[in-house]
Amino acid sequence: MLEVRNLTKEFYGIIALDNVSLKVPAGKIYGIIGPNGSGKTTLFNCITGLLDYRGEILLDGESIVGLKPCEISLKGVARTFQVVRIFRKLTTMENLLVSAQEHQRFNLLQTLFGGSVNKAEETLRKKAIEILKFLSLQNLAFIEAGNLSYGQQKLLELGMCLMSDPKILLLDEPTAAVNPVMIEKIKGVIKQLNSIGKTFVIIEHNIDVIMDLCEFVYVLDRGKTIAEGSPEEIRADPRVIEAYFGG
Amino acid sequence: MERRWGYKVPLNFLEDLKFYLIFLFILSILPMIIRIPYIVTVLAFSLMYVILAMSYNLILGYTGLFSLAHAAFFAVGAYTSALLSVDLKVQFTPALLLAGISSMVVAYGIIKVALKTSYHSFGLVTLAFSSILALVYKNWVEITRGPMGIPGIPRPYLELLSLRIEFFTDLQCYYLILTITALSVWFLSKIFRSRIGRALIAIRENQVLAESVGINSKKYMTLAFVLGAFFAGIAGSLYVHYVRYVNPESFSLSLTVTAITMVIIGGQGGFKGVLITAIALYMIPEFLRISPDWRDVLFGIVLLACARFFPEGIEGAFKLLFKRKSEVTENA
Repeated sequence: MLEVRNLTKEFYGIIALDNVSLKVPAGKIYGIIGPNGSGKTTLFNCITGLLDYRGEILLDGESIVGLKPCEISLKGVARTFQVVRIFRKLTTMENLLVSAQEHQRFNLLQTLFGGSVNKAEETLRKKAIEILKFLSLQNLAFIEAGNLSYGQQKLLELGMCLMSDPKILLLDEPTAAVNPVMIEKIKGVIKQLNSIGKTFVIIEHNIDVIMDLCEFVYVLDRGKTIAEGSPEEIRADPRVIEAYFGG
Repeated sequence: MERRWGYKVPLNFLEDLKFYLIFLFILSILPMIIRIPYIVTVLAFSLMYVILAMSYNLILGYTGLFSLAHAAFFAVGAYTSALLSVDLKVQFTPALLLAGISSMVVAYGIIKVALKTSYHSFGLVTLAFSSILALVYKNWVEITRGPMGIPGIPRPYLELLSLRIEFFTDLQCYYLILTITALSVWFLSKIFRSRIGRALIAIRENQVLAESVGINSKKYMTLAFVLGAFFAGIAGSLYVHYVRYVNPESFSLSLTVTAITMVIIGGQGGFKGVLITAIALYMIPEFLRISPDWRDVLFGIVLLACARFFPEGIEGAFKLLFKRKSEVTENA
């Protein structure tokens, strides 16, 4: 599904990622953990095309190196951000619709005058309503998304990812700054989506979430992969303990 | 009541249609009721400002691109139409369309360069281009006649097969301008209410996120900029065929400032607010006989007051007012 080979990223001489490699098979939930500044979000930014890098990234065996973020999204990679990003002035419903509209191709004239775009819009709307119900946001469909609570915004972000029916979802700290009830809800949503075949890569500091959700975990420290394995193996690995608490 | 497509950007145009038709009706009967040539001219000019403001709304209001080249696009359209009509004796309709297209071409060249710069440099790049164009109009005397300008631009006429429709009086010309303004506003509102409008708002709100959900932000920004320039060029063409004269002084930076003021006070990304503000901001200083210099001062004060008290413009202020009223009614 997703393969990263020898990825290196430098910021003005400072190495943020140093020969990082990882493989995520389809239908699995993989985790990435590591102390602050270890390069986790930078890795997501490279995969989604927001940063350039050295190395190779393959999606279903096809290289996505050098593609623009929008092109990578159209290839089936969806992501959330560490600090929640939504279109605050659009409604919850519009946030969902705009997240999927580019995955249906229409030219300018069709978009403005074609009947087919209205049919496509109707289909998207039905899907958005299903997702809103799934995330228990249906009563908030027509309010400005900026007025949602932080937890609801996190759910909306996840919903936006789902709208385009992506091959893989990259979630950057999905439970950060979210209350325990909402954490359970988000975990439930991820498990449910994984049960229908969705692939996830999750960056998370909450080790309980990682233990509960992930089958395999990569640990980054100062831009390098220092450990990889099942959550149990990772928890017992002295290198990981040292990276988090110091030697 | 279920809102079909959402609240801010309904794809269904019906929401604005009633307002649009009433507005059109008032503007159609006004010159018949007030039969004063001066009023007709003021109304004709205010309609040109409607096109200018609505097209700038696409660039600034929807896409968030702070362009300072809108007067330059107006000028490109004006000069193209003037030169085609005077030197090459081209008819009004092709001259009008070519005015819009030439503005589009210039805008395409500008945006290709401007998008390579940072957001903050964007305004400066567009300002630099409009300054260069102003120098071209002044100094390329062989073509533009320099500061003397181009006189004797013919009034519009349409030739359909053997039928020739002439718009020689101010009133006839007014109705032609009204028709073209109505069509322009209708087309622009189609864009605002379509997926394109929604994508543009998404880019304005958060470009990184917009890219991450598959929106090609550069493509959409270029589209908005170029279409905005097209309609500014159309307005420029209407202007020269009405005034029958063009010189470089007609397109100073204050024209762009006026368009910015109209969009910000009307409400960025709005429709009704910008439409009303464009007409009001042209008519009020005109009827109050305020000199152009003082008009800029007045616009500045209104702009500051707007930024302080209702940053979302008239449209946002009205929405807030009605929301509060409905809350008071619900609580009572």
